[in-house]
Amino acid sequence: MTGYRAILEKEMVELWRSYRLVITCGLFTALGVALPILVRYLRGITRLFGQLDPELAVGKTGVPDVVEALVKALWLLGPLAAVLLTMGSVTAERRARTAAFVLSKPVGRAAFIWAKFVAVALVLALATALAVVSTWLYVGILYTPQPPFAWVQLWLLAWLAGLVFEAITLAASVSLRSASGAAAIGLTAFGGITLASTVVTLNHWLPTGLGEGAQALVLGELGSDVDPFQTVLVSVALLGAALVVAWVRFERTDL
Amino acid sequence: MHELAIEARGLTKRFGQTVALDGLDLAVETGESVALLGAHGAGKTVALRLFAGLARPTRGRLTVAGVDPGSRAGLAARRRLGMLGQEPAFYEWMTGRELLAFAADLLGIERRAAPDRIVATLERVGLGADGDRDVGDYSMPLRRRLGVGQALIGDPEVLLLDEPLASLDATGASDVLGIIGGLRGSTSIVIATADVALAEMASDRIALLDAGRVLATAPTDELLARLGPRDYVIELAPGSGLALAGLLARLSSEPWVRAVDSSEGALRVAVRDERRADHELLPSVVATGLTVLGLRRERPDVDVLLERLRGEAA
Repeated sequence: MTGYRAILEKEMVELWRSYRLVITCGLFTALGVALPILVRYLRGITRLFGQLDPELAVGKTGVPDVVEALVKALWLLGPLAAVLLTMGSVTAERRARTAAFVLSKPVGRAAFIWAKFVAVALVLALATALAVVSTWLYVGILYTPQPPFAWVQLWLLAWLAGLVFEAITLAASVSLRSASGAAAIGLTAFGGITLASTVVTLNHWLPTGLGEGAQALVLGELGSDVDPFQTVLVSVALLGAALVVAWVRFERTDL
Repeated sequence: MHELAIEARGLTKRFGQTVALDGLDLAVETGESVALLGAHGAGKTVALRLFAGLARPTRGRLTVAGVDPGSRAGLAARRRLGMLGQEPAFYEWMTGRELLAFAADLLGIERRAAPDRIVATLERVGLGADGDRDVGDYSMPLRRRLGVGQALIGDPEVLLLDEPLASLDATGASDVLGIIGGLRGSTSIVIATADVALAEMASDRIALLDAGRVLATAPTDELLARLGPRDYVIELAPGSGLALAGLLARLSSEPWVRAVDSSEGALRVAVRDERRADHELLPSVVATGLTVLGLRRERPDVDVLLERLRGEAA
């Protein structure tokens, strides 16, 4: 793809200089550190606020509680970060006419779109990796050391969930003329999928179901009722479809 | 026979119900400089965007450097193309030097060769001292210079310039005209402009555009001699309105006067016969008792050219 490397480099530098890379990674790292500490010392923290109703008292917490909290947090913040980082990626360049400057050079439109997708995908990969590694380290310190492989799988699944919403927002960013419109589409997709996932049978087929699979993988509870493979396939298909829409729409866009 | 740098046949571009370009026929020979001259909304910018492959024609045939700009070969051919947009828009967070490096990278210029070429380009467009400032801090004239720089950094064979002198001061305009002048003959240049003076100074040929159509194409000297001989602009000291009214009436009746108009203390006279005007105009003004502060010759604007062309056709 002509021009891909140059645009990807430009995107990464822009993400760095605009502090979006640092802020996203910082937030995810803070989350990864805070979660195990919070879960581990939740009993003590609640006691500091006085005697609670015995029904509300926090019992002894363990690794499953930390993993559950991490999965919930990543499956909420990952898509949100994906939407926020992607919402203006094409609309802003079209409005500012910088897209016309780039595409008047020997740069394919597929390369333009793909470089933008990969740049945000790399930020999401790094941010989610930092969150997972931080939690893994603190779980090892506060509870018991964990085998890393399942946590790598958790990271990959969390990344994939974020990528799906990144691709949907990118397609919206290509199709619409406003960044807020693209964000609205991305957030609506996220809200809609989250709502649909409350139906247990549907959840297995949705990107939100990846969280359930990730949790089962880390806790060694993978059974016949939880098969992340199907969910991965559906998520990859969704991601691919959204990218194709983004590419086809952009090919037909006059600048 | 000359090779064609750009060839458009029946090129049409619609945006919904709006026809931006209506069957444009244009051939630009290699090394030729052509001005697309037209008023706002004539379709000049749309034509340049089609030439650069930024938009696709609704109908018609177009080749740039021998290939369809919308095709895969057209993508590669953009290495030989330089474009300056109407409103140069660049990444504000980059410095001028970084922007040129990015443009060089996109054009596939080797990284080892790029720094020298960037320095040379910055000097060439007069940004030697501003190369390390953020583009966001550039004034519009500096952005225009940078725009010219990014268009030239790949040594293009075809150069598309949309209002290259807009917002430039006299020095900037002179510099850019000098650059264009240096490229003429070796680079095929298409300049989209509403500025008759720019078309006169920078083109070999003018294509006069109106409502998306080419109404006339002719060598620049020939077309301007026919439709746009320089008007006489006489600056007058404030004086008797009655004398001025009398002068206007008298001049209007002269056979060698095409049109006469007065506004803001200046008398603008378009003439049919320059020889008679040279002999009779000033004495006529002086005879009325009005005080002449100055006299200059100016090309009429593009609307007047179009009006005269329509008048010829009628």
